[in-house]
Amino acid sequence: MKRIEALIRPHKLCEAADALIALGIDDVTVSQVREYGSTNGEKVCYRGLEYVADFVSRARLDVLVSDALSGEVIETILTAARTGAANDGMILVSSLAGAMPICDDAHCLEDECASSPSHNDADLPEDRVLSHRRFGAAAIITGLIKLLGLAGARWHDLFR
Amino acid sequence: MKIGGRAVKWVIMGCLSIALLACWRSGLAQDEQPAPGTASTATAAAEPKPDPAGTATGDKSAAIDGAGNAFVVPEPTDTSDPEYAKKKAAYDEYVEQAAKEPLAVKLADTVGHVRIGTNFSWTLSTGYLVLFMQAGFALLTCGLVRKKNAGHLMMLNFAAYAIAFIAYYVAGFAFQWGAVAINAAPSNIGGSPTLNEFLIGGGQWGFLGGKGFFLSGPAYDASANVLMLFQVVFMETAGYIIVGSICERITFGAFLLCEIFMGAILYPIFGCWAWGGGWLSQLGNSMGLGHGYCDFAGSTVVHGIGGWCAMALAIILGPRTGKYGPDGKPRAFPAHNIVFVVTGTFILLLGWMGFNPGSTLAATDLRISVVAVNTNLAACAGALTAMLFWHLKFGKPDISMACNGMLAGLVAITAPCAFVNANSAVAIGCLAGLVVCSGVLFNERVLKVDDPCGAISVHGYCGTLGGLCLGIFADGTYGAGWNGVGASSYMGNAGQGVTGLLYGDTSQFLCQLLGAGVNIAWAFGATFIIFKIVNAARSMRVTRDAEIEGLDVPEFGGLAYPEDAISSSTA
Repeated sequence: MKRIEALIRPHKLCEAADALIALGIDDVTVSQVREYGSTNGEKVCYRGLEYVADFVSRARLDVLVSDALSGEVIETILTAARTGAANDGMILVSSLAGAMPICDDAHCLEDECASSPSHNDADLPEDRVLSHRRFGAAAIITGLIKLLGLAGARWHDLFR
Repeated sequence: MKIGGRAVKWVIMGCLSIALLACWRSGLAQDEQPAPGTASTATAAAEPKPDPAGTATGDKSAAIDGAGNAFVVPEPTDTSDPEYAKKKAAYDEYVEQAAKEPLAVKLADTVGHVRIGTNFSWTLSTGYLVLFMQAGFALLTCGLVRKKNAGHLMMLNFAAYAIAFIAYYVAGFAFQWGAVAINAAPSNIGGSPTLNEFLIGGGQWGFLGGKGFFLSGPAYDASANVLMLFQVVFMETAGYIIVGSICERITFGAFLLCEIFMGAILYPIFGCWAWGGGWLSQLGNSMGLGHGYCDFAGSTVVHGIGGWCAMALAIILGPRTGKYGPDGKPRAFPAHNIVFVVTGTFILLLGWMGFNPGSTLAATDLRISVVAVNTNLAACAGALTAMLFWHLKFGKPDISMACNGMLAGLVAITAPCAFVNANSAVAIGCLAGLVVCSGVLFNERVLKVDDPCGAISVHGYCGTLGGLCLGIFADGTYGAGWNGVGASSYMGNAGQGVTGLLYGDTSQFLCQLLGAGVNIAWAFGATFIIFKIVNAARSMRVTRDAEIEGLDVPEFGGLAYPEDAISSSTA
């Protein structure tokens, strides 16, 4: 098992996460960190006083993958996170001694078990992501129709 | 409270002594009855009675038409007056008509009462708008400081309201308005006839009012209470202005002392001189200087006092730790929430719709529309000028400076708003935008006075600018009879109001210059002297460690954003 830690530009997070999900990896941990870099700080101005924000914001992705998949995952992240400019970030790869879910066997969902190398070609989480979105849209539309219906009923009451 | 215990005790005892003395004096005045047996043929004015229920306030004497002509024509008594014959004829005609239509005379009582009631409603409602400015300023200043001090800023603004209000109720109102009926009776809201004695001074040289301590006795009156509500929120404005420059390093206890000082002494005394019928307002009568010192809604009376007091305190406290590097160059301490800053600015703008138009104390004074529009014009001109200035100087318009520009425009128009036309209002706003931007840079880089929210520039410098602009741009279309000067005619014209330099009156500008100078000397001087002593007795600053950690926990025990602290015992 490999642990891939990628420090990327925060605005590239969506692209990188989508690319990983498309690959079938949905077990990604994200955090906001700062990286000290004397060369890549941002010049900020406040009421005429300039200063350098030299602790640069990074989005940190932690991905756990099998050894076989790690190469592909690294390539995916590199492609998604590159901007063509300098100081795009860093990828760190380390070997993992082990990983297990917190929940017990009775509650453990099959795809939460990181001990088994999973999601090579099985159910595409892409469906899950999209179905979440579809569910959201459906809920909104249903809600609106309900509201209109309610309004219509009241209108009828008021003006009968 | 870690402040000089003995110093505090002396201050409190001093204040209470003055208050008790004044109570005793006003009590005596009430008990004085004319000696029995002395028949007086002259009209012995009986001491007016306070009217706490408002049932005796507003009668036919308050029935006035748009031009200011009273329904009840007064009997002329001065036989040497050149107009005596005309006035006598008018009076005789009134008496004759009143005899023919007694019902109309009775109706006039209702009309007068309704007029006063309308003005009560107006004054109170605009007062509530000014009260809401407290929230606006809290948001503005909180957003302009660092996150670790957010709770401290909010508590300063909050506590300022409560304690300054009480200080004003105890003594401030009486000092400022205790003698208002003598020279400046607010006839639009019933005249407050019971507030008619100076504690220090008298006639045209009044220095301190002497009636109405603890809002009792002569001040337990409907008219006096309207005045109280409206004026206390103006005092609160001066009170929270100082927060903007002393925040992030002052102890809470020392701050409470500052607010007591502001509410009971600093603000009311100048307020008495300028608005309470005191000597500054009477300079037109006593020394022929224009209409006396004029300040419509308080550029100098409110904002000048607050701003210059803030400067004195900022100098005494010194800059925030780390603000100036070893080479003397200032460092940026960026605002932690620009959203608060802009929202706060808009709330202040809304509040100013009460601040300026409300200062007529009358909905029946239709100049209120001009006042409201002038206020907005200056606000926008100030904001745009500040944006342009900053863009030209630094390449990008700074959001917080744009907000300060709007506030600067508002502060500068506050004095002249009723006396100028629209173009002048825009000009004043532009001037204010320039002054505030230069002022902020000047304070920070040249004077090296640390002013986190720009309060000194916005309120001090632009407040003085407003007072002076009144003397320049006032066009004479409003204010006939202001401060008792030129009621029938001024500068040869009937109905001529307050006039400035550009419209031919030099004396008004000189008077404004004098008044603005007194304002700066009083606000800065009194604050500096008193708080230099307080600071020597016990430092008004928090410890260096507390300041670097952020004042929220050391001063108040809790954080404004508790989730910033990770605890094993809370969720």
